[in-house]
Amino acid sequence: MDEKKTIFDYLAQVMIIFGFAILVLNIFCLVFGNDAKDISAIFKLGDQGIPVGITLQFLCVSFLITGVRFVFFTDVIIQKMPIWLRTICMLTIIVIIIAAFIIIFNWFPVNMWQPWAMFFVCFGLSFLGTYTVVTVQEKIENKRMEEALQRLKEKEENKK
Amino acid sequence: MKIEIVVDEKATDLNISVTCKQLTPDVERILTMLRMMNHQLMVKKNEETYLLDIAQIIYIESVDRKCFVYTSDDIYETDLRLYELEQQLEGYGFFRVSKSFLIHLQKVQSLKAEINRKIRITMSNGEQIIASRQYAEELKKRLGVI
Repeated sequence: MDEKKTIFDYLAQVMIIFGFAILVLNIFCLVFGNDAKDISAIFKLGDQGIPVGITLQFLCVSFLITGVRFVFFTDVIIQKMPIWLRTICMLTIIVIIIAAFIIIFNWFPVNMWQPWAMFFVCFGLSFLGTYTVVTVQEKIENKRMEEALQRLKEKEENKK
Repeated sequence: MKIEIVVDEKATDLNISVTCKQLTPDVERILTMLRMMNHQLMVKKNEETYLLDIAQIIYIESVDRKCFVYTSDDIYETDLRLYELEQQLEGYGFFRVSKSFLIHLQKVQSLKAEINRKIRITMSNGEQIIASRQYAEELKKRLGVI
């Protein structure tokens, strides 16, 4: 009996990813916008903001990432796969999707190594940050569950 | 089936008597349920019937409509369905963690949250059982962590 998710749960997930991406882009826009406006389609308006077309492309990426998460982190399509393999597959596909958007929509010149390096550093940092938060959260949750289990066992024992 | 209840003020103990032409599966199910009131579960192994102390049970697994009862040293079979066992054993610290498993919380060695919101449960015999998402949430509620 798995929890039933509605379309609104997925839309909420899309909006979280989209909102975070737009926030980061706006910060980059303020910091590097004017310097990068001649080489990047993302920053072609300088520090004035992100073009509408780019915003919609990021919305599209957010939908695709949510779709990839759905494939690898629910058991609807793939039922038996270790967590580490799910994570690797998901990250690889997400990198491929974003790289495809970079190339197709000319987010930055593909022949320059610096933006690619920046992209991978940002992606890696985001992943590391998320991984750290999830790991810490998991440890706290495990500790709470172990403590609660001990309390429950003692309570049951006292009933006898 | 005829049910006869005799209220006798002189009776010192509750006495339940079952009269039947032969021991059919239905009769055995009734007996199993009655035994549970006495902290015992009627189980079978190699065509022999045993009375198992409920405290000995580690977990119960349902496979192809059959239920298998696991203890630290043996595996037995019971005629009851998993949902019936779940109802009967609820008060004895048993908890349903997936479509196929009913675990004895007293026999849980450790709990580990998985990244996909499931819970990996290690039982006292070392067996690992995965609590599916919905049941994992219910288990957390039972433990009082959410």
